[in-house]
Amino acid sequence: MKSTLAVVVVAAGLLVAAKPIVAHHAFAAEFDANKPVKLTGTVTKVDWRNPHTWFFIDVTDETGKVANWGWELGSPNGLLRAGWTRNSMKVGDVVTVEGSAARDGSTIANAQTVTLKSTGQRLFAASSRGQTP
Amino acid sequence: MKTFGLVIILSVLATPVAAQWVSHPTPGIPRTRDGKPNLTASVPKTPDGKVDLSGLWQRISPKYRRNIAADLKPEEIQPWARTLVQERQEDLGKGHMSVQCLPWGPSYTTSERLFKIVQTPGLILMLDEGLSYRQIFMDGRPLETNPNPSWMGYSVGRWEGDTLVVQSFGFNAETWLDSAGHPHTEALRMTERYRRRDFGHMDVEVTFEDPTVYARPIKVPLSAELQPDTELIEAVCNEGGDRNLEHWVGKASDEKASSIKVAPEILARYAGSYVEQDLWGPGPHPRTIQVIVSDGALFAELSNRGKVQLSPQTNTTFAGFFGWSLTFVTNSQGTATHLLEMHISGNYRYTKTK
Repeated sequence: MKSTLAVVVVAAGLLVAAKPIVAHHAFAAEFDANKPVKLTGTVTKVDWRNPHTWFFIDVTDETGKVANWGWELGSPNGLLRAGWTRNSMKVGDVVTVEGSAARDGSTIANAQTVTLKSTGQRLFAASSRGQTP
Repeated sequence: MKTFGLVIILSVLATPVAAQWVSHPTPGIPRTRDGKPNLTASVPKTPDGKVDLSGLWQRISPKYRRNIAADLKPEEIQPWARTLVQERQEDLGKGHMSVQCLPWGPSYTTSERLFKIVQTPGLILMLDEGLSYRQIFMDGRPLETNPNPSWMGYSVGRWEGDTLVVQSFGFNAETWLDSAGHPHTEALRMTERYRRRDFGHMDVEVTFEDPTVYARPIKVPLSAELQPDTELIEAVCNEGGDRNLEHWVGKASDEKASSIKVAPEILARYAGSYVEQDLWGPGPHPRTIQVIVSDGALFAELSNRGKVQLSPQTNTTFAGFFGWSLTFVTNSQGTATHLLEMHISGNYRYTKTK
């Protein structure tokens, strides 16, 4: 039993250790915390690139019009160290995303939570503290 | 046998499939009986008896990370530099090296970035995830006297007992010394002192001297911690991604302009101490936020970095926190239980402790 416990401790240690501090840009330059946005759509592109990862979804409104929304996440390394990989979300996945819209009114937003429709799995952003309660 | 099965399951859980080096156990480091890295073991030495600083390190700089001039009086900073800091803060840091995808320059030494030290007898290398590097020559050569300005400068080092002392010169004037936007000129000289206290901990002191801007040398004490069982992972900022800085239209003054009035009894609910939480509880160096009400306004202080006045945007969301927002979450009695610090990379959660 003792050794089992030790294994649990070591594994937990591995999870926690790989989590360095990441640089943080100002949120308010680009996004407005007073403009919450929640949309469901189909992933059209995942751009796993620095400085920040973006993904895009096609959102169909009630009139049938389709708009492509871009969502900003944290850096690829921040996501990687929080347990994401570039395959966590794929083109064709249906996702529901919650976040804050851009200040300039364009169809981009910052993603705070991403929920995969197929599994109900809630992915979180790069901060790793990102699970909103 | 059961235990072995558990090892496999937990290893899979702990190791993202496509990224095993991110949690690969570092070979050759002392471990306690339960397999954890022993970060308080003794300082390792090189074959020639010098302290060996090699390893992957994380700098920890709670007080000075944002503002290295926190201890300076305003009149000790040239007026043009004070104006520049104000302009850079109004732009919410849009011109910072991390936004413009440029090397961090001298501020690399005081920022909370991962860095890897590779130590050889005549040369010490410091490597950064953004592919910039520093060469610290230990072969006794004198420092360059009139070098072409460069991003990371020219460095020579020597041992003073067990302390590595590095002197650098020849920086260009393109970079900021901190995220507040303190500038420097090509006259800048930098001295770093590194003392490894034990296997996992290092004391660091960086002194910036630029008499054309600052009336006295700026001394920045910080520490560094060894990061076992992980690796430096390349992160080239200038890959472009889908980022377009044309969307960065927000100014610090916008947040003030869109402020609303919030009743004093609501503000009073939010006053208190908040501690940053990891998914697994408080991390090794959780940041803290003190929230106080003064003269009918809400103020917040992040890890002793100085108080800032918050601009209420709703009854629960407040802007003006270094370009981030704070949203207070209350229970059914209306008492604040925690707050969320809103970043591009997600919300950071702080629990109210008192």
